[in-house]
Amino acid sequence: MIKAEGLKAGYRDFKIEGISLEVPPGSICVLAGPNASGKTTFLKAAGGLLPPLEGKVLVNGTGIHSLSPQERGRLVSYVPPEFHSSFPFTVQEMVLMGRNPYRGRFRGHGRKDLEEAGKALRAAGCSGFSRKSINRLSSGQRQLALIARAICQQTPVMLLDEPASHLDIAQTFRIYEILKSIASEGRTVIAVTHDLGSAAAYSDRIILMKDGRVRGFGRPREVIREDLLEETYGEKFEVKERDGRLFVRIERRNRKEMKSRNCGGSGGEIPPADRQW
Amino acid sequence: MRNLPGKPVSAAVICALFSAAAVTAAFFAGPAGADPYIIWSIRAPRILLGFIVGAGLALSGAVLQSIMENPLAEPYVTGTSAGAALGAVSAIWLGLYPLRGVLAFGGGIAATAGVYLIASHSSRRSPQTLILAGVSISSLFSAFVLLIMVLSRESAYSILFFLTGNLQNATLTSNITAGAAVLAAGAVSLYYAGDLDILALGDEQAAFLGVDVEKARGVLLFSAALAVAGCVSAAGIIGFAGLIVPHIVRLTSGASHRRLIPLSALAGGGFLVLCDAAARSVAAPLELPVGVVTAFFGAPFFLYLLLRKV
Repeated sequence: MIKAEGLKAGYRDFKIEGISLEVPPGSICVLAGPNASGKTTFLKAAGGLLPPLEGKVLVNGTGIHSLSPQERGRLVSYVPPEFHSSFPFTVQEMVLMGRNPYRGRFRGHGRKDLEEAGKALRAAGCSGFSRKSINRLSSGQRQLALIARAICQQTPVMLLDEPASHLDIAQTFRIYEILKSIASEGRTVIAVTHDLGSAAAYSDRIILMKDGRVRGFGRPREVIREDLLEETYGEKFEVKERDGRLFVRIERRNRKEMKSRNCGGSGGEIPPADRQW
Repeated sequence: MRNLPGKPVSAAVICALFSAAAVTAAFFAGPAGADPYIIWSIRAPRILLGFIVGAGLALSGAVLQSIMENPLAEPYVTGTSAGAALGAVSAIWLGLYPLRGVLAFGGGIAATAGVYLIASHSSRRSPQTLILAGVSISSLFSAFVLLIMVLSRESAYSILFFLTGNLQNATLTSNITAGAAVLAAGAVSLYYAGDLDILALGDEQAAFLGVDVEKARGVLLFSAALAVAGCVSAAGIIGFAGLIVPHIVRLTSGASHRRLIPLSALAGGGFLVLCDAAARSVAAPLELPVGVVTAFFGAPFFLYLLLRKV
């Protein structure tokens, strides 16, 4: 369970503010919104890396910002977006890093550490390439390895920054299936994504952000609404339901409308491309 | 980098055999042959110092490559060696020759502290800032060193001799001080071995994995500076060992610092002892600066590794 109460955090030139929400355990929550809407800033503040200017973040009732780095590492794990290393760690070595918050100094990895890493590797489907160097993996494999490391960290809250941004549709499906099984163990999973289709299909909750504020928070049906999406992204949306699933796409404007309207209502960015269903 | 993960034992065996062979060869190499007096009273302290300095430079190279998240980091990008050089060169210039070890040590630590302060007061606290601050301070101090060399014509040769690195002044004192500095740095690096692995992946991931990033980086930076200042004050500036030895060791041991740190120290010690044996025997009776030999061996080997796309 993760709870933000009147959270304000950020940098000199960009802040997120007025964020109050609670994501229950056992759920996948997707964090969406236009570029520069504050998604990554929220992840950093929620994970305790960015100190709050106002308000607080509670993980299972504990204020995350009052903890030592090691204590924090037992409550929140993180999967970075894309990542390259100059050093040839093996997948297993990287997954074992997830045991760091539980480890004593000077000691190597004990039997329990290796067992937990093995379980995490199996849960994320990485057993087949656990001895490979992380620099020799495909994007999909690397993402799975990072998720395995977060699983190995055994935290009640897992944060992921665009876990599927470079992956094909089947890999994306597999990633979300793994996240589902993690959530089903009673953990809270929060994932940033730009893909509203996957958000609608796989999540239990959606946070929609714009300009550092939460514009919508709730179940997919409550947030994936034409009016709310248009307000957030500045484009006309069409949302349809078929066989109990939500489908999202952007409606193409006619030329006259394009000219009369200043494209890019969401902070002057390029409007997203037309999405096929 | 190609590595053979899961073969840490063979990596340890390779490093140990290499080191043992290097030390054995060094005992008998040289124009004087196997004279017992020369072996025990001249070569032995020199071999010991060579081993200590090589080990210290290689293990600090491994530490700095991780905390700066940069495979090109080495003991000389943090400003430590430039500071130590300025300290020693000032001592030679001012006629305080016996104090040059102390001033070198102090200069190295002071330069590192300066680099650290600049980097931690910058608005963007990152390893890149640390490297840029280190490079700037190094250039500034190197300029001072060159200035002193130009100003002090008569001691220019002894300054040059120091700057190119040599192990001729191996005494009991230099062995003990450099040895203590390197041992302390080795112990700190092993204590932080797990954090070193994680820091190499970047600050953000490290912070989420329970590492106290600022503290760990600060402690490790100063422990590496301690070893480097100790080495430079005893043997002058010896290049390349700190950069290439950790890379070569990673090829067999993998990236994990629990193996990389001790094996780099072992292999670095052997490497420098071997280079010094070559330095004093290939052109005997003329002795080459050992820093020249490490670069002669090191640079082509490193280029070979790069071209193999390892």
